Amino acid sequence: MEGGVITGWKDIPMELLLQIVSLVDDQTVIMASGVCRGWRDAISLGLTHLSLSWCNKNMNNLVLSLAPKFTKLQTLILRQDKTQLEDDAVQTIANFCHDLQVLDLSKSFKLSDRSLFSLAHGCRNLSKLNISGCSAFSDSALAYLTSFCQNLKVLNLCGCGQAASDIVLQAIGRYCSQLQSLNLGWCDNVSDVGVMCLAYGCPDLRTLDLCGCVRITDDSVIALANKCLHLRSLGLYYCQNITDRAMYSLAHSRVKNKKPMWKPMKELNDEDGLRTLNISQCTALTPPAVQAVCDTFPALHTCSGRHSLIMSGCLNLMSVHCACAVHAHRTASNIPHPAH
Amino acid sequence: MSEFDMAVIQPEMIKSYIWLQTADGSIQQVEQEVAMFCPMICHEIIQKGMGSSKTYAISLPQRVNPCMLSLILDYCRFHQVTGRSNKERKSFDEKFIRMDTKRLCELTSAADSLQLKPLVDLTSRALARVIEGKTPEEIREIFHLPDDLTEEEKLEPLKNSTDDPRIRLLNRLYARKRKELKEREHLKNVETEEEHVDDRSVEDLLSFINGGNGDSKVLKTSKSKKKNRRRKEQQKNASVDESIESQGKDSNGLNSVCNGTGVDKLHPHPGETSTLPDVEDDTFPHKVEFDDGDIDDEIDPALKEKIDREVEDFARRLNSDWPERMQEILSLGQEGRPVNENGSLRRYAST
Repeated sequence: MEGGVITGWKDIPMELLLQIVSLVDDQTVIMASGVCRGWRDAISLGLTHLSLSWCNKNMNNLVLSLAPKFTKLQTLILRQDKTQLEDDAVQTIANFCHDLQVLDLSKSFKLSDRSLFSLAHGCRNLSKLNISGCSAFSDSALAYLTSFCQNLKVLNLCGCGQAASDIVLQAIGRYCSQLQSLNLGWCDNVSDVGVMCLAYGCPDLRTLDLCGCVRITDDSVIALANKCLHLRSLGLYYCQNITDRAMYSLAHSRVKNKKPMWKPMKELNDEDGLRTLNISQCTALTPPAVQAVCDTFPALHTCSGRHSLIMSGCLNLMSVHCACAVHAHRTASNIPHPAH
Repeated sequence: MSEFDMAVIQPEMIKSYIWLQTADGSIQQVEQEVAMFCPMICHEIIQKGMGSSKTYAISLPQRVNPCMLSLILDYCRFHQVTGRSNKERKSFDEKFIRMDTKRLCELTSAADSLQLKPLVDLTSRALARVIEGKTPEEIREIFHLPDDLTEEEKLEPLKNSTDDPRIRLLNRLYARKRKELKEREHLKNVETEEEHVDDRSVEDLLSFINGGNGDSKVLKTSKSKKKNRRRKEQQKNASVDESIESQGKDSNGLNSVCNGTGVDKLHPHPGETSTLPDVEDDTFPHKVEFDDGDIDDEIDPALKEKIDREVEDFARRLNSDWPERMQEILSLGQEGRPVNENGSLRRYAST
């Protein structure tokens, strides 16, 4: 080396190297970990967030070689456009990355239950898990995982028709009481029993997507309305068994469960209460019921800027409007408040 | 002492000065408000009362040499003035950061030891742009880092992240170069052996014509193919080298390698690379399609031809694009390469 006054670049402090590495893309991070031992050790000790979604061909091999080195990973994004991931890679992750909190395995339909079992034992700190599109999982394995990963807050099971059944929802209700967000899109095995267990077991639930869960009836919505008071987003797209009963239960729960008046009303309304409701294709609903819901929750909007009450395909509900839409037109007649 | 005189004569020009000493022993004076911009110096002045005279000069960390100190003080002198707009500061920073990578490294290191966070952030961003999109070997060259990972460790992730075709071809060229060097050495020392091989193959041919066994025939053809390939490789590589050398600029890592200056770095351990195929096969049962560098002979000829053609194409493209690329590189200068389409993610919970 020349000079000698400045200590060699290989002696760069770890924090400085990590700061530089945090500014580059994931592919460069991997390159940097192959430069020299000093860099490799620093990156292995410091890297907490990695995404390999840019891999088109070799994601499985890459995970196999990287997981044993990057043992401090907390977030790992392995979402694939082209399915590559296999059980051995997930097993390696579970064996080495025990600090993992966020894992995205979406579209890995080659994975089998073995992966779920290994994750259950190795990654118990998981708080956010996305296995949408992993259609080969079974419900018993998923239930097994939920019994171990009790810190789960966000779970995405969209498209896991086989894995997302009432048994799993019962397990979630029993073990994952901190759950805040659950996506059960297109899981057509889900029925009222499961959703009721969920509602009773997860009082902190904020987001629930039941799109395409065609077996759901009013009982599910009533249970959610009564038990999940922090519910902010509810998706009932294509749940064609839903009737006005469900809508009125949502509206009434709000009135029933209003907090004591020590909080200013305005603040209360803005914080809690539904912000998004998707009742597209729920053709059994009638305008008065839906209007009741819209009036009860000020955050629900039908106006174009903040459209959050989604009613596509419900032609008979065209007369339902949020308060802003009405004020904009400034009509003389007052809208009767149906909730009372 | 002259400062005191000046202070008396021109009271409106009173400025206090701080004495700083760098690791090489040289001492200099700096305006106090400029020096105080560095947290480390500020700490020394306030908490320890140092810096007010030559004998009590503040000793700066070893990583700060006089050259870097003057750069850092320029930075501080500009930024400690409060009236400047953000636009002014930003354009100063952009001009300030234009320097070669070595100085950039030294500056980052020095700024870090003085705890001057804004400058550390600025230089870190510049260095991040420098390493973006580069292979480990390129990075090693730029920063003069030791090549202390074993061959196996080095190849592992690089092999598997070759979704970038440019990197794949680069690795093939490196591997080819490595092999070629090995063979050249081999040829120098063992010329007689090769002739012996020749004789044997002729004998095999004769024996085949006279009805010898099939095995030796197969052996012969693979050997002769190996020799032919080697000759073709050498020719091709020679032409690649010539065409690149003729345009000899050295800002491109690939170019410097092909020029032969970096070649030694590619091939430090002839002994190890010769055993490499075995190691690879044992530890990587998954056959990665790119993996051809040192186990050329085991690849079927069709794939080999394809690889050769790709390498030729790459060399040709390099040569034809060269004037445009030079323009590109010169205009971007030290501000770095265009950003990769993979956006960088926030990876660290706290820094």
